[in-house]
Amino acid sequence: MNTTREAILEHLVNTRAPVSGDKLARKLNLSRTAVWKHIHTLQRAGIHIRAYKGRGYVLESDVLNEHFLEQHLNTRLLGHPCLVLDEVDSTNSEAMRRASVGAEEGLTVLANRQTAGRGRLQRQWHTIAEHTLAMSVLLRPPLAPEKIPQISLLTAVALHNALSPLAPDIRIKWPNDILHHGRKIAGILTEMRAEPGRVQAVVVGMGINVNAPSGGWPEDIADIATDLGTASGHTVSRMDIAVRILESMEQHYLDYLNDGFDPVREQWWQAHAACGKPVRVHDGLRYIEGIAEALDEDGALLLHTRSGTQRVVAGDLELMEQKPMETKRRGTHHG
Amino acid sequence: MDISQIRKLIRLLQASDVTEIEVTEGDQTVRISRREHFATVPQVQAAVAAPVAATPQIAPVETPLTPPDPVEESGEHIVKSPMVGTFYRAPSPEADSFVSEGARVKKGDILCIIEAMKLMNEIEADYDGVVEEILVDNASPLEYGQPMFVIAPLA
Repeated sequence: MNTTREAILEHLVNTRAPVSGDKLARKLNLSRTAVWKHIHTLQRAGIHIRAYKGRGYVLESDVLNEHFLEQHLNTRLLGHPCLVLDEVDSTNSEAMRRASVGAEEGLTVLANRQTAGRGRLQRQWHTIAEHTLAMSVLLRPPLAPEKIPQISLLTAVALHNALSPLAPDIRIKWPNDILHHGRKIAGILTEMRAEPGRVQAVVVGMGINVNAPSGGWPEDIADIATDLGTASGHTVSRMDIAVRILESMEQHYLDYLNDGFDPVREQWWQAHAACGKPVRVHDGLRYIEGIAEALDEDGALLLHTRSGTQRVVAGDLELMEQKPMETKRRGTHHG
Repeated sequence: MDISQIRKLIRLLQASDVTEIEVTEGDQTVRISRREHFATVPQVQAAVAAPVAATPQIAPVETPLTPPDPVEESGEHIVKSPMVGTFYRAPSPEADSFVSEGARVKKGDILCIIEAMKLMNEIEADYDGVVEEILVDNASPLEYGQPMFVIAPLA
């Protein structure tokens, strides 16, 4: 985007009060006519800027802006730098590509649209501009590769704690789906490149449903998805959510590097939707049914089954207490 | 002579009633012989028991026919799992496998994905080579350090 127009957006994104054309002209060393022309170009590009006669301009779109994010983040690692893309195949893929050419820990990639947003086993993930937040964080933890699955659960705790003040009743479903009243509000996909004994890069991807599109969520996920706007009862901004999550994530990550997995494990279990409840897990081959008994030290779910305790390390978990939703496999189950 | 050629010789021996083959190529000579009794080679005997167990793919069938392969014993050409997880040969259940037996791979090619707690770890080839054997079934569990592939390096 043109740097002048980006600067105009930055001024508008910082405030809910109208900003006058005069003020913008002075700050950016432009004529009022030039400001007006730039505003017009932004409007034509689909960004909602409302002009209040005699008072100024108000940005009504939920615009993601990297400078604003970097300024407002109270973090020392995550979000420095932030990269906001209008469109990308997948923020995870972009973060991994940048990791392979030397990007440093903390790089955060956000996108308005993903053309190949994906969840577990390449299931499609919908990213709808202005309604969803697609964000990936690059970490380079000084840990052995076999520890890294713990970061997948740590991210769930970070999201749970970041979003709970907006919408109580947010729960985690093993290993890291974020649910509100049983419907998915956010999904996490973590990817790692490692060599024996040494981690090269970990990319933690998060997809958050922020506000429902006016026509509702796409049909294939309408029954299983919800969003923060619906859960909290008011419109929320992607910028605010991104800041909350990155700050929470950094705090949990640094604590984990210091104190290990035990405190995370405890918080995770507190927030789990299925403690002591009957569940079934499809591990790619078959269903395992049992009672969710505990979280093992590496993050595996321990199921109490008829044939004893079973460890589950990968699979789709369903809670059995409510009528199980019709299982829609392809491209529907988020994440 | 690389490991794939040696394996071919072993298979040749196996398929016939010949008891010994000796091949000289340049200054290298390889002799493969079939033994009647394993008593003198206890570590091979241990390997003989494995094919009878539930996971015959882990112990190559040709093992009993040849002295322990020094390369394979040291694990140099075996790709092992760096973590506990589930093994996937393809990126999704509908997709084609990353590699199959006999395929040539280049350094950096993806061999498989290991998943644990929704962490996906793409395992890449460390060197150019030929996939000799895939030792694990799709969607089956992996232990730490479990052998997954035998990949013969290309000279």
